[in-house]
Amino acid sequence: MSITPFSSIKEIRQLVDTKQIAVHELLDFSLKRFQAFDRNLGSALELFDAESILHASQGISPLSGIPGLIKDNICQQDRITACASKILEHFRSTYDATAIARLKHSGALLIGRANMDEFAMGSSTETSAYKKAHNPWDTTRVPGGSSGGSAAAVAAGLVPWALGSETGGSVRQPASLCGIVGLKPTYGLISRYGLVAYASSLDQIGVLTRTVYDNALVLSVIAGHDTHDATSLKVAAQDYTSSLQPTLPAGLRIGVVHDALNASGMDPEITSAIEEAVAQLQKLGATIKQVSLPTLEYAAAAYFIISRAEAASNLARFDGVRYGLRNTQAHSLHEMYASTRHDGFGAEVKARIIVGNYVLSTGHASEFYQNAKKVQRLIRAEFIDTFKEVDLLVMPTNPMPAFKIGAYDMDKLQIDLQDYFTCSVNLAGIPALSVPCGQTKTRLPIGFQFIGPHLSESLLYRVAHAYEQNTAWHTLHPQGF
Amino acid sequence: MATVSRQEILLLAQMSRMAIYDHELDGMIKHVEDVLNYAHRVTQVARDVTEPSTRLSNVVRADTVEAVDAEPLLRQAPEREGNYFIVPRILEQNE
Repeated sequence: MSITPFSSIKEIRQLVDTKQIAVHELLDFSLKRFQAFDRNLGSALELFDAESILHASQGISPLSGIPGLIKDNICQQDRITACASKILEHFRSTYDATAIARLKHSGALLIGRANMDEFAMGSSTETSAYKKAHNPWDTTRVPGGSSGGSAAAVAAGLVPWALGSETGGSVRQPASLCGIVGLKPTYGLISRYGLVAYASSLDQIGVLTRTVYDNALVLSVIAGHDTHDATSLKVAAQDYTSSLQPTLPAGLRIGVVHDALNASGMDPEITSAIEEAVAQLQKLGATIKQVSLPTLEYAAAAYFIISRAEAASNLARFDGVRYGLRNTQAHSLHEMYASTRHDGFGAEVKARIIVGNYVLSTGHASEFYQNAKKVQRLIRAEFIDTFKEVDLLVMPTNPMPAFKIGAYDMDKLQIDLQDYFTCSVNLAGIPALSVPCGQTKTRLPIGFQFIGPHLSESLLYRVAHAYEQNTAWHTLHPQGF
Repeated sequence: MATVSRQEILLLAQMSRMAIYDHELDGMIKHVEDVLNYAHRVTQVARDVTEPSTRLSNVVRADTVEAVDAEPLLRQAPEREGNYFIVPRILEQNE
């Protein structure tokens, strides 16, 4: 066996452990692939130099020596952390995010910063202030977002894993559009310390890989309680790969959210690919139940309000005073704030701040924000009720496959609605795992998601792994890479 | 249908400490209205739920000082003097 662009972490580990490849050769292999292909993909905003990459990580673990890409909103000490924004163009983190520290301790190689939508606000990586990212399956199309760089790099075989982040679907949606595996963990499972805040009650770091096993491996390194994050769950680190088997647990009940599958605007190829996947799960022994989640229709609306409200608050810190961009021509403090933030933030970020402050303001708060919070409670209650009848849910990840870059320049709402099937999960704080389940006639990836109750990552991985091992979607890769 | 006036947008911009220039106003208004008009549907279903959604608890640590070197942080400042961040004048000349 020798290294290939699409080798899994598991396979690479074998190669390294049997001394068929040295760690620095592995790193070199990955960096060369970026050099060869990333001009067309735009997945990385920066790649670090080999020496500092190797120096930063010391440790022996299943992940040691394995290169990965880190989303640009996760702090790596002494590296630029720009959130793909101009306002942080020269900002260097003074500390490691907890997830980063744990990865360094595991010996994993952190090779650069992944491109993203600015401040994680978007579903296409088109709002990055630096460059757009492209889908490796069709480079005229978006890789999704906001973790589009992370997804594109993994899908194109430039790295076998990457970290992304979710607030409304920003790991699962690009994973699905790029034909790879993406996890959004239970809120609080992965520490948010060092993740630049967008909507603090929703944000979570997520994991992108080409296989379910690899995904479980990376999660095992970074998950678990962190005293630096008061919202982090008191859950010990564990090995999520140990529960993986090629069969489903006996008596598994899977709920198919039929109002999602038949929602208007659903691409029929996606619907039929998911129906096919459900049939496959049934063949593997799962009991399938049709379930309905009526408040799903209102999840995106509630999510828009809550996330923008929190974002308006979180982004107030970028004011040019202590770090980041500052307009030095301003004559007064107020002018400095106003012009710095005008120049430093892109249009989408500014619009979200305005909407966020609007929905919180007197005269609008009860109509928008308070009602959105009520709808959030309804969504959570609905999931809790549904999980009394089934062990897991299955739902589409996206209503359509990867769209053309620029397709929605005039209709931003359509981009926002990319989160339609993902954001209810973020609002409820529960975990979800998107895996590939097909392709369109034009070879664009189709994915679907398993959704589970609080802290059910082991079950999600077990079921997804069995599905994956009994299908061949994970063996398909974009051409030309 | 939500309609947001230019005045309201400018007031929100001021509160957000963010400039919006005249030529950007119409685009901003449309964007904001589109989102609000969609988001407004929460009013159709919002109602109180008896089931408590989350159990909140305070997470505290011991009240002990952990010394942190401020220099790497201060070094990031656009303009500083010792432990101070220098900013443009805050008050108008005659205040």
